Amino acid sequence: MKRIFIIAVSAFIISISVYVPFSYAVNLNIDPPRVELSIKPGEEKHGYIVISNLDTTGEAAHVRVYVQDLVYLPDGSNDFLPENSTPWSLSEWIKVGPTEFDIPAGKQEMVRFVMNVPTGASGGHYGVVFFETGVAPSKIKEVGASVNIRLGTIVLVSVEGTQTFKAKLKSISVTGPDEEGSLEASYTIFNEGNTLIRPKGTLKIIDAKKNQIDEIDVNKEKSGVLPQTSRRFSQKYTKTLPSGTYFAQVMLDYGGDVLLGGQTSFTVK
Amino acid sequence: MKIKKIFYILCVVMLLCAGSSDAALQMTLDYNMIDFGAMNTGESKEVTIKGAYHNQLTCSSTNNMTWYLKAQVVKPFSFMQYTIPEENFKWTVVSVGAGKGIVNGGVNFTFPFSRTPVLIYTSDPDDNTGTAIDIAFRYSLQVPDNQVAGNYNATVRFIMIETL
Repeated sequence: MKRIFIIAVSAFIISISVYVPFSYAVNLNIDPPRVELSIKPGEEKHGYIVISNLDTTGEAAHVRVYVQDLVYLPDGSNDFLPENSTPWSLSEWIKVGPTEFDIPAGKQEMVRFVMNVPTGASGGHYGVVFFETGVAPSKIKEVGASVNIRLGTIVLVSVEGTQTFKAKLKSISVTGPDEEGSLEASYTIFNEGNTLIRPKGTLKIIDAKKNQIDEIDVNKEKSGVLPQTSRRFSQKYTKTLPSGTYFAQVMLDYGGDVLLGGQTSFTVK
Repeated sequence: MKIKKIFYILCVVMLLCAGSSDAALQMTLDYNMIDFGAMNTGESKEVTIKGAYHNQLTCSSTNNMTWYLKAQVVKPFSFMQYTIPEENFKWTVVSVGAGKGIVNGGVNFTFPFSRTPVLIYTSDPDDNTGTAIDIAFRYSLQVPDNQVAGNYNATVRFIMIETL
């Protein structure tokens, strides 16, 4: 029993020490980091995002809240653009508030949003609500930089009953091997629909005698393709293949009625 | 019997503590100044006030989604109408504790700051369940030979967000 007590006390001390953060200059938390809504045209939905100042040094955080549009970059990350700069923008539909405030250390603020989908709207619309700390008054007397941070909540809105899923495989190729001996299979998807798609599936390697040599999962991360845009995906193949002619066959499920498929041949010397 | 009771109370307290720390997307910056001090024209300087590094970002997510960290210069080094080119100001990831994700360019690779956000780190699925990932940085600045003397200040921004 004594042992249980010691273990319990130790566990308690550890849990407290893990929970209580150290002193930091800035320590922010947002919850949730992603909001997904399905709304009928002409209707609205409400929600909130909680931002917490977890700083324990007593410093209040000055936070500014704003909405931006987003696009995909070739590296899979997103770039952020001013409001209303993309066809899938939701900037005109969303109102957030409050938009600027101080959060005392250890406290939190609820930022409410109202999403108002106009009549006649269709498809998927996407954006990000950013929470950015204010730049602290500079203590730098000569040459120096101030650092601030921003966290974003991704917002995805589907206009209920209006989504169309349509995509095509524009190209597929295999290059290499590179200096490390890896092949790279690349394929480009064009999203012809009006909503974000996340094409995932398999890439098969088939030899000249039509024997399947290998099968690998592609786009396991479920990266998306925005409406009316193309996106190139690539997959490294690190196993060594004997010399010969092969086929790379890709089969993708993007949420449409049919699977997307395509194949190309390549030679290993 | 009393010990048993204390044990149960401690268990409840531990659960409450765990419940209140649901860091959905959390970023901590341990030092928000990059002070190069006095510099001469033509001089290069690297700052690492904490020994091997200058400051550290700690990022964590419990949302089971890939997230990434980017850096950008919001305001380049400027004094009155004079600016130091953005590419003269550089950052290097010195270390990534606990993270299994991808460091853009690898650890110890130096990138120039840019107005366009540059990718620093992309999380691995193992990083997305609450692991606190410490990313330590050092910074360098090269003052051009013909730069007008003055007190130059810049603003840098770190961005953490999930992928769409």
